[in-house]
Amino acid sequence: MTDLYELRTNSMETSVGSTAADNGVHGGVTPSPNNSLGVKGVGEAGIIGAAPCTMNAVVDALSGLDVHDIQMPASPLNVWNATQQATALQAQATNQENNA
Amino acid sequence: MEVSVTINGTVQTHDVEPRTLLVQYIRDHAGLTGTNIGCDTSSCGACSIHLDGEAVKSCTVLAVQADGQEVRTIEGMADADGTLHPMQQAFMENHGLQCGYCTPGMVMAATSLLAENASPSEDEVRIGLEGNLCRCTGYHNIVKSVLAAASA
Repeated sequence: MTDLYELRTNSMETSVGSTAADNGVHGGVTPSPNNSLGVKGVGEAGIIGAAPCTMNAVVDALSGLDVHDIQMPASPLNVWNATQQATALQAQATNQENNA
Repeated sequence: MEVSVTINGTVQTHDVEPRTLLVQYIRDHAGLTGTNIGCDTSSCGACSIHLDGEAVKSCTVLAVQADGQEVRTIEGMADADGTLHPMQQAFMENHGLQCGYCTPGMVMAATSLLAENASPSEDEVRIGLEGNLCRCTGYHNIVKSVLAAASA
């Protein structure tokens, strides 16, 4: 009973996921009776696109400052650093043009 | 120490620490990030690559063990003109991926499987891919893709 309170799913060693060899999963079609298309929501699918969508929006908002990429997360510091870097690069380019 | 590996046909030499794992060598030193790290404990197979033609989990191989050998990663599967490898094409056509994280490892393991057994049964494919986990549990279409590639 010593492991009564021990988490059994703390790593992939103990939390055994299904593998391709676990045969017996078969497809089936059960349309939803709640709407005319018979469609259902699909788990996490909608979440996958949300992060890149948000990041694209941030990059788009900063595109006027010549920011082309920001690594997640869009923390205030990350955004500030990205704008500072882009501004510095722009200033450098302008200087080079002026010196040329 | 210096480790030279032929990765996707190009010889690369990098000065790495002896404890560097092959997957770190591929991702951090060779810059090929198509090979994913899933679990770091050889449980999931996301980091599967070909070492001298055979699929291995690259988180379980030291970079020094691959010295002088040939490595093929997911980046080396398609032709230079972008034509997909038949296995990649089959995964695309049969929706053999959902989130895509396990896909590079699945493709590498599956091509290695077909190299050993060109026309496997469904059960043989399932057993052959047992070492590669799909957290989306999308095995149905992955197995379908491999069978399609085998008959392509």
